[in-house]
This record gives sequence, structure tokens and C-alpha cells, in this order.
Amino acid sequence: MSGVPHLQELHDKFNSKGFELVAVSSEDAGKIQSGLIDAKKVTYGVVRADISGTYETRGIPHSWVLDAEGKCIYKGHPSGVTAEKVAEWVANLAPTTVDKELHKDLKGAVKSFEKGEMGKSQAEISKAVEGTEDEAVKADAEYLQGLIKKHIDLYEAKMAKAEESGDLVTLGKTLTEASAAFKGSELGDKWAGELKELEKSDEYKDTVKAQDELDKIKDKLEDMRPSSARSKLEKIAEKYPNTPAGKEAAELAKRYPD
Amino acid sequence: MTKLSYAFVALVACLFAGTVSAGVEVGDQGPNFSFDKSWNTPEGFTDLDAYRGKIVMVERWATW
Repeated sequence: MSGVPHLQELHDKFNSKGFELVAVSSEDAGKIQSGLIDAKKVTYGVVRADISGTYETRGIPHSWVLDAEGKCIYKGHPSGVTAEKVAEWVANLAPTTVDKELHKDLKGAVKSFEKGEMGKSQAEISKAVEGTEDEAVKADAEYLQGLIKKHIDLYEAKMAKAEESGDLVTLGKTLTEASAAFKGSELGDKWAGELKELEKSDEYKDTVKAQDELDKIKDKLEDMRPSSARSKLEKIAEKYPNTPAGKEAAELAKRYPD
Repeated sequence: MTKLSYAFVALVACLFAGTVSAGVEVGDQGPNFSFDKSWNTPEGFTDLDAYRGKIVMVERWATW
């Protein structure tokens, strides 16, 4: 438990910027309460859960850092999660809370923003600044718009990257998420339209189906007979030869020779 | 060795292989899990998926 001060420091510095700690123990709740919560007065997130089946059991303490999409971006000793690293990770996040008190006319807009309803928030900002001469409202409206802009930029960057690498699964997911967040705005409509077009294309349909089928068997390959694993992978590769998952299946199949 | 002990060795080998391949590596999707009990977590958060959109550090620890 010598790592507690380090973790507390990370929490204090970065929690308001979108960094969350989930310290997991499978010990008795009473032991966690007395040994960590009471004795060390930690304020970061602590949970009782048994994750030994999914996140490996060997070596305690051990840590994993997941990004906004739930993908693992670090695995190792907690001391390796430095303030520099966390600063870099949270810089890529779009803010989900407003970290200062804004003018009361923007209360609704702030609420919508924190709920992730960006389109609604934008409409409420426009309404609040309409015809106002109050400079404080204008300045705060601009600040909130800046936070929303960060979401737009991140969505657009993600879409551009997915398009460039031909990752249609990510493109579809991002368009779905973005059009929902900006529902009711021009931009939201534009993204919804793009999603509709994408969903119509055969290439997209195949890509999603191939990924689904591969995901379904991927974790079970090790438990299958090699010949069975190979034939299942080859089937996906044959059915969807031009999709990323199809190509991955073809590669994986090579691991299970006759 | 008897057939039985061969079977035993095979079983142990399987178990060992299972342990090695298990776990979450960089690039993997972090599996969800629900909390039996929680302290200092945001209101209404009962599992790991609730943290999507944030950077979340899962730390395995013990009082010993």
C-alpha cells in the first residue's frame, strides 16, 4: 500500500480533468473500509470486486489504464502511471463538466452540456445571448461554446483518422455517437446523414458483420481444436476477404496449422 | 508413467497455458465488471462501463 500517496496525488491533480481511479480489491468490505478508507483517508474511487478471471491475478499491485473508448493504453505497475503520462492522456479528452461557475442565464445550457446533449446546449446558448447586452453572458457563452468546439474537433479528428485508415467500424461508431450528441443541430443532421449513407454501403455492412463474427469466436480460439479454429477463421476470411476483420482472420488462421 | 499421470501432466499444462494467455494487454478492450461495493465513486456508477468517456485507471491492490 506504499503507492497510496502517488495515487492520491494523481487523483487530486487530474480528477477534474476526466481522470478516474478505480482501486479494486477482492477482500472483505470491512477490511477495505478500515485498511484504506479509514486508515489512509483516500478520496479516490475504491471498489470491492473480483476481477481475477479477466484482469490477470499475478502481481499485486498492478494496473491498467483505459481510454475514453475503454481500450487499454497502459498495463504495469501503478508507479509507472506518472503525472506526465496522465496529463497527456487527459489532454485528448473532451471536457464533460464545466469547471467554473457560469452566468445563471446559461444554466440550462450547462446542464445539457454536462449531460452530453451538445446540440441542445448550443441551441440554449444561442437563446441566452440573443438580444442580450450583458457582456458577462456573452463571455460565458463563448467559453461554453469553446468547450463544445473541443468535442466537435475530437469527433472530426476521429472520423478523419478512421476514414484515412479505412476503419469503417470506428467511423460508424463515431458518427453514431456524434450525431446523437449533436442531435437537433445542423452539424448533428449532417453527421446523421453521413451515417445513413455509410450504413447503405455493402462495404460497411460486410465490415461490421465480419468484425462481429470474428469477435464472437476470438476469445474461444484457444479452447478449440486447432483444426476447428482454423476452419472457422478461414470461413470468415473467405466470406469477407476485403475487410479488416477478414484479413485478420486469414492471419490468425495461419497460427493453427494442420 | 501411467496413462493417468500423462493426463495429469496434460491438464496442468492446459491450466498453465490458460493462465499465461489470460489478462488484458495494451490495445485490448478492457472487460467490464460490476462493483459489489464502492467508496468515493461518482453517484450511480455501478460498473466499469459507466466510466466511458474518461481516462480510467484500474488498480488491483490488497491491504496485505
